[in-house]
Amino acid sequence: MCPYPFSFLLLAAAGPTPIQCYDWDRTFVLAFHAALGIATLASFALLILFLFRPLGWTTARPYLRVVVSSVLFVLTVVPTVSPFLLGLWPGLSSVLRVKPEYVNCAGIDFEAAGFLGGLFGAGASAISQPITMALISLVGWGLYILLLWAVTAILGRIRWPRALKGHLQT
Amino acid sequence: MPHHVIIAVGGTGQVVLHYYTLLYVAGVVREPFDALVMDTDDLNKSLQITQRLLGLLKLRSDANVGLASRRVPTLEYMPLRVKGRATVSEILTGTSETSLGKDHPARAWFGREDLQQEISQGLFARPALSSVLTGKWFSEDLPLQIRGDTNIVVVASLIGGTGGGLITPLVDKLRQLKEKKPGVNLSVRAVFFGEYFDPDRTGISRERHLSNLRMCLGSLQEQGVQDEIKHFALIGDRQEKEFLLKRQDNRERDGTPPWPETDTDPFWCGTQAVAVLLDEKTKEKDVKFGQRGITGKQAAERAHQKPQYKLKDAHEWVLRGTSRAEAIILKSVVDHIAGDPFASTVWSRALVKLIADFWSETTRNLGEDRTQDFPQRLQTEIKGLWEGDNGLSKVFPEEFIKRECSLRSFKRVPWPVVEDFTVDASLLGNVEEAVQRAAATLLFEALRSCDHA
Repeated sequence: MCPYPFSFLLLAAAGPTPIQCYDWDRTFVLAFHAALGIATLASFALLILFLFRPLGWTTARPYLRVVVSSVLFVLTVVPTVSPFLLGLWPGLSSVLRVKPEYVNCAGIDFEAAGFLGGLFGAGASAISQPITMALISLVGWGLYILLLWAVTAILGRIRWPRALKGHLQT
Repeated sequence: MPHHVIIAVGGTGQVVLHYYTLLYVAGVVREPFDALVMDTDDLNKSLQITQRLLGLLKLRSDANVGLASRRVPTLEYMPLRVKGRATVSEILTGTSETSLGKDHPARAWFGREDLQQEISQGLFARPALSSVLTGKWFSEDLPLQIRGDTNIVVVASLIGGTGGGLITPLVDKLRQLKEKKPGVNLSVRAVFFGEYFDPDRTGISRERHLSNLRMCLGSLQEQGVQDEIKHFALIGDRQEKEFLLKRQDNRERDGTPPWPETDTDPFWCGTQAVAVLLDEKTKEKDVKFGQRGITGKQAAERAHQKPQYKLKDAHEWVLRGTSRAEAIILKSVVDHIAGDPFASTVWSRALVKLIADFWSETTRNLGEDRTQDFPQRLQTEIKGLWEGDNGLSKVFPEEFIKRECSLRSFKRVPWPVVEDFTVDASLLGNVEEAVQRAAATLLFEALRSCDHA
């Protein structure tokens, strides 16, 4: 269901996870999840850097900052939103008359991802109701934004010892 | 290196000084100088702005010394003005032209039109007016700092009223000054402007300009002061059409003359001639006055031995400096430096230290409580100093304030590193003043960094 960065990583570390919709090699799937998890975490970290702007060069070209921030935002948001889409998929597939098995990855045992995965909506594979899944995803999404804001705010309030004030000689 | 002094006489002198100070502020001219403006008109707006900046650059109360113990140029203004809206006749004779007797001696020197002329409207290319009306001034001392080896360059138009009337008494005054200070090695050079613009549009006949020119050069000889002028450049030659200027009096008077279009622009040639003559160290051979002159073209060729004096290169230098100054404001550089955890790494140690030194010194003088928001105030002050009604950006032609400047270039600038930074406490009387001085220094260093990055 929810390939949040943490759940990706936890999923990769969690051991056997049955894949129902694809007959992929298990190792490949784990590597794929791990890579996605690392990429999403990296995007997450970069997004914080760009929002917080601790490096002067990030402000060199405002339009570039907007573009890069947007790309990073998409990179972090797409995996976040995907469970919402996937959660709706069974219903949509019936409307569209497409067999859900072809694309429904919600069968992955996300409970193996543990507490963090569950916190971010990943551990809801047992829930079959699309709306419930979507709501859990939205909560996860909200928590994600909150975390982003909190980290940025904390970094912004830190009296960095090597910032300008650290050079004062009074 | 001799001490450089520029005496700018009249409107033409002011425009040339405007360009010269602009080049100094932008780092094209490296040597500091002392300038004196003598005019019946007000000081140009751009020179007023520059004068204020130079005042703020001083970090010592007893000397013209700025950051890193470097000398700060000075700009003095000596108004040669008659108060009120009196006519020439009223000032010379105490009565109006209409009440003046038909055989009054004043009529021997001035026509009816001149006697009815209001002085507040200018001297209308009548050198006799300026030399008569400003006669009182010649009894006073010149506000000049003369010491050691001093190269003085006088800039004046010989076809106009102010410069034409003052040049001979001024050179004589410099001769007296030299005699009073025998220990001083004083060299006087001059940049004269002849027929450098087409007079048709001004309503003043070409004949009057030619007559003025002849009279001025003649009076220098007749008064026996021409030998005081070691070398001179004569800008403006009607034979070379490209050296004729289309004057933009309003912009000149506002102090915002446009950037020269060509290397042959008379004001630009005059500016280059000032640079050449100030740097000149050779002793002139004993030649006649007329053979001691060079043309504007020759002055430009000499100046171009330093590439930055070519118009195109100078434009590039100035543009880089103004772009960096703009970037400080547009990209809130000081705000970022205040917040960046690795400020020295990102912005260069010297720049961070420069701001921190001002902040430290202000805190020492005024206490920590009053200087908590120093960086934020500094950022605001820089914006005001650059963009305000009398902001420094007004000194530069508008086309200079447009280029994008990479913030990465800030690190490449060799900001001055001052290990023993001090400012006289009397110059940091309150936070506003401290912030103003810091802002002026930072802007000035940013503007003059163009040759390095």
